[in-house]
Amino acid sequence: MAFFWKKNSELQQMLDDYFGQCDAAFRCFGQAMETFFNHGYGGAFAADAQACHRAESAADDLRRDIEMTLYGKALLPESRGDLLGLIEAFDTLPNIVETIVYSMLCQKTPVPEEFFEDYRELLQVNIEAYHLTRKAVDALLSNPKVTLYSTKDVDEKESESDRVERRIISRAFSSEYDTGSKILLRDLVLLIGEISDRAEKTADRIGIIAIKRQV
Amino acid sequence: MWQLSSGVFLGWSLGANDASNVFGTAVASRMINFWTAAILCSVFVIIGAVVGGEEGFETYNNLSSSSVDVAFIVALAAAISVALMSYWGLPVSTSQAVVGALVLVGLMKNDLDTGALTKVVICWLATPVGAAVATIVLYYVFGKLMNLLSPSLFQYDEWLRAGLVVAGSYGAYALGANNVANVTGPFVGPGGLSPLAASIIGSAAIALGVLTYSRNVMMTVGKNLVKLDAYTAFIAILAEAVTVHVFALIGVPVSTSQAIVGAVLGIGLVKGVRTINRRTLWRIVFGWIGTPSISAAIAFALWQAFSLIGLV
Repeated sequence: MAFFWKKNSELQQMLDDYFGQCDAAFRCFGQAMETFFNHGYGGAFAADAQACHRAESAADDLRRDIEMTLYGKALLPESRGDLLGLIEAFDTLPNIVETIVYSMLCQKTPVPEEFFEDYRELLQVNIEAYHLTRKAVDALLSNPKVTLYSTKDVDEKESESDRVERRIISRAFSSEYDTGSKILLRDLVLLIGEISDRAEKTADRIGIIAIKRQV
Repeated sequence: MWQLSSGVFLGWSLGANDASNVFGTAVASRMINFWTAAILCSVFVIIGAVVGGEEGFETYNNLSSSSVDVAFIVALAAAISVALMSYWGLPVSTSQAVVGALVLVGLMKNDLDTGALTKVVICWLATPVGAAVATIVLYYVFGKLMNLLSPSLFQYDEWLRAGLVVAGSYGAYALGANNVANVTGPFVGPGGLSPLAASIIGSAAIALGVLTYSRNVMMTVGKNLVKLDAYTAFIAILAEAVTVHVFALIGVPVSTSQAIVGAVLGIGLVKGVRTINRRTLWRIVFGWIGTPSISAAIAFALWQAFSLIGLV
C-alpha cells in the first residue's frame, strides 16, 4: 500500500509540473500579445511565440510521461481513465494558444490599432476562462466539492467571450477595411474565442468526473 | 485417515470457488492484483477458521450422525460438484453441496434431522436477502461519509483500495470462520478430528484452492454479474463479510456465493435493475439448484458403491 502512495505522490508531482508548463504557455501567450500591441510583429514577438511553443512542447512531453506512468505502473485504477480524459481535454488549451501566436506570426495578421482594446478585452476574458479551468482542476485534485462551482464560472466566461466575439466581428464587418482584412480579423477573433470554448469543454469533463465521485 | 483426503479436496474446491466472493470484485475492478488478493485471502481464511470456526461443526454434527466413511462420501460428492462448477466458472455454494450430500446420506440411513435442516435452509434464504439489505444500508452510510469528506482524486483511489483490502480480509476471515465446517465438519462428528485440527486442515486446504484455482470464478463474480466500480465493489464485499460473519456467530455455515450475489444485487437495486446482467444471474441461480442436486446424485452413486464393498 505504501508503495502505491509513494508512486501516487510521484504522479501528483508530474501533474503539477504538467499544469505548471501549461500555465507557462499561457503566460508566454499573454506576453506575446502584449508585445504585439506595443511593438507589432518584431523579433520580440517571435521570441515570445518561441517561448510559448517551448512551454507547450514541454507540457506535451510531460503528458506522455503521465500516460505511460499511469498505465505502465498501474496507478489509480479507478480514476486513471478520467484523469487521462481530463489531461487530453486540458491539453487542447496550450495547443490553441500556440496555434494563435504562430498563425499571427506566419500570416502577420493585420490588426488595426482601433481594435486593440476590443482584442485586449477578448484576450482577458479568454485567459480568465483558462485560469478558472485551472482552478477547477486544482479543486478536483484537492477538494472536488468546490469543483462544480468553478465549472459554472468557466461556462459564464465562455458566454461572455461569445458576446465580445460577436461584437468585434460585427464591428469589423461594418468597417471600411477590405474583405480580406475583415476575414483575417474575424478568424483571429474566433481563434482567441476557441480558448474559452475548449476551457468550457474541459470544465464540463471536470464536472462529470466530480459528479461521478458523489454517491 | 485416508478418508480425510476428500475433505482436503473439498477445501481446495471451496477455496477455488469462494475466494471470488471476497476479492472477486476488487480484482475484477483492478483495484487489487490477483496475487495480493489470493495471499491475503489465504492468510485470513486460516485465521478465521482457527479463531471462529468451531460453532459450525456443531450444526453439521446435528444434521446427520455419520461414520468416517460416510463423511468421506459426503465430502467427496460435494468436492466433485463444486470443482465441476468452478471449472464452468460458476460461483456456487459449498454449503449447499455438502448439505445436499448430507441430506441424501441422512435419507439413506433414515436419520435425517429435519429440524437442523430447516434451520440451515432458512439461513440460506436469509443470506442473500440479508446481504442485499446490508448493501443498501452500507451504500448510503458510506456514501454520506464520502460526500462529507470529499476526497481528492488521488485520495479517492487510495481510500477505496485500502477499504477493499480491509473488507476483503474481513470477508476472508468470515469465510474461514463460517465455511471451514463445510470442509472438515463431517470428520469431526465421527471422532476422527478435534475441532482445532479440523479448522487447521480445512482452512489450509481452502487456502490452497484460493492460491491455485480461484482466478476464473473471481472474474465471473467481479465482471459479469453487474458493472462494479471501486466504491460499489467495496460496499458489496463489506456487506457480504458482515452477513457471513453474523451467520458464523450463529453457527450456521452459509454460502458466501449467495451472500455476494445478494450484495451485488443490492447494488443493482440501488443503481437501477438495468445494471444487472440477467443472463449471468440465471446461470448462477442454475448453479444453486444444480449444486445440491448434483452433489446428492454423486453421493447416492458413492453410497451404492460403498454399500457393494461393505464399507457403509
